[in-house]
Amino acid sequence: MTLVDPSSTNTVDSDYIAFDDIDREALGNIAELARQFIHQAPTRANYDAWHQMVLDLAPMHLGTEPENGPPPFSWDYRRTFKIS
Amino acid sequence: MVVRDNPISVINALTVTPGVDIATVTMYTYGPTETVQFGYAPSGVTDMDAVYLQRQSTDESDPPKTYWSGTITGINPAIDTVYDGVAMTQDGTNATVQWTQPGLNASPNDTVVFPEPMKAWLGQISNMAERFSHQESILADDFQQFRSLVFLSSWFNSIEWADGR
Repeated sequence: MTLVDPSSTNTVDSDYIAFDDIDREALGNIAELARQFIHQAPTRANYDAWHQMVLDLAPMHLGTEPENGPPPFSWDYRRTFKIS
Repeated sequence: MVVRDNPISVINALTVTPGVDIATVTMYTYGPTETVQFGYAPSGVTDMDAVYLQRQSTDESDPPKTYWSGTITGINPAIDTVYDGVAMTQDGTNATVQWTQPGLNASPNDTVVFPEPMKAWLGQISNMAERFSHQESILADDFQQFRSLVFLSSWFNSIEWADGR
């Protein structure tokens, strides 16, 4: 069973979000570090710092009608969990 | 006209006691619930694992209290980790709790080792983060799944302790 953290912001599947420039830079760093972790096991300090960068992301909610139209495609997360 | 009562449960005294790699949940309820689930996750993480609490006893107070307890094992947090928990009865009553799980004398120099499947997920995490950093907007659901993958990375790893244990 998946419970939802009641302290999190409520969203529905069709809600859109956007990031500011600070979060965009952080996302770039998160992506780069994740690539490094594949090839070099990180120290706990580096892993925790990376995890905290993700937790610190603060997207802005746009509602169901983003100003610039929908993104070009949606990530199919269901496919992700088939990997074993 | 007969008006039926529609009693709901009340959760009281919800506490979590952290131990070494384990946490103990205790609480009591008033009301009709027959089951209580307890969800938990590191603070800031939306997707929670859940366990059923064990019904221990019901006393003869008025109204009667029903006592519940449960254990969460295999908690191997990073450095001292704040957890959020929520107890939920079958009629939807819930109560939240927060506690700090000790870090098992973790060292910043410990090595975090990912199994091969997790490395594939790391690649997907990287691709998603890269994509998010370039898009004007994304689906909130995509972001939740991104964070869920990152959360999984905290579960599906092993530690090589710097102190050689």
